[in-house]
Amino acid sequence: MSVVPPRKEENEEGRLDLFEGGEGSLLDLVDHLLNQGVVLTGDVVIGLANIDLIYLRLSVLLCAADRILPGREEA
Amino acid sequence: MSSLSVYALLDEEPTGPLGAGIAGEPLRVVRCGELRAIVGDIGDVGEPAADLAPTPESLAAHDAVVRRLAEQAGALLPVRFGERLAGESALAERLALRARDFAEALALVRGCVQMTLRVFGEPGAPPPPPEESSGPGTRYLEGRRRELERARSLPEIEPLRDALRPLLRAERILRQESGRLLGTAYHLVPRESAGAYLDAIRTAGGPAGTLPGGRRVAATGPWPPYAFAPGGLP
Repeated sequence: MSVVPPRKEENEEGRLDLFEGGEGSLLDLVDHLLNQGVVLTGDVVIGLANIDLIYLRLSVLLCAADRILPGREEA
Repeated sequence: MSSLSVYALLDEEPTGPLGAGIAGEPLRVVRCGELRAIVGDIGDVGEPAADLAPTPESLAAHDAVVRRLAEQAGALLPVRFGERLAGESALAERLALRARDFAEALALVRGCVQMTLRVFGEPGAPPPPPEESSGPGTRYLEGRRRELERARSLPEIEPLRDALRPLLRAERILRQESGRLLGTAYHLVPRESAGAYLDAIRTAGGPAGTLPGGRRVAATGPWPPYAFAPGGLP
């Protein structure tokens, strides 16, 4: 299975669209697959370690991705 | 004794071949009352399973498996990555405890997909504190109520409401306010409306994805309904 990297397609304004598209991004994968879905065993969540740490890291990742997107005021 | 890696829950027999899981294990159906769990047999209990480590490759592979399964049933609940049980008895026990919740969730997501909408920008002013005229206990409870309401609200997407309302079956909101990420709205949309949903976002936000107030939105999907599984959001 190949890695699904964040999509880096530039739109007509030359901005990086990291999130759009049916395949989504790595950040969406982390959010959906590690934060959501049916949980059957709390042990597994802990085994993935420390879900709070993962959630905090997710927030950091999501924020970092936002900083990758150049804002209108920066153009 | 081998353990089970669980991928999804259904309430009907899948209509096509299940294929393999992320470790190459053949998938099969375990029937638990009205529910159908899609599982793979992996390793023995107590053994580490390197293939279950959350890497970009394994996450993408797990999502691909869930997407494939979603095509074979009218309703599917994705199971969180890495869920592993000691065997069918343990699985049946866990499912029986929440059978009603799962049945209700499957009814909700039937025929639908998830669209994920994230909002970025500067956070607005925090809500005013409770009135000082009330007692400390009342102020505490009122403060907690406001916190909980705020945690489940994303007023920044109000400019999109009129366009999105006809398309939504359900909504889950998680306010994050971590850096520039203000929050995420997880929208349950009939499968055939996913394109119209993305069009509505693009129309409202323009090429830059900017809403009134300077906030920016980014929408992805369709996804399997991860956020609409019982306990899907913290």
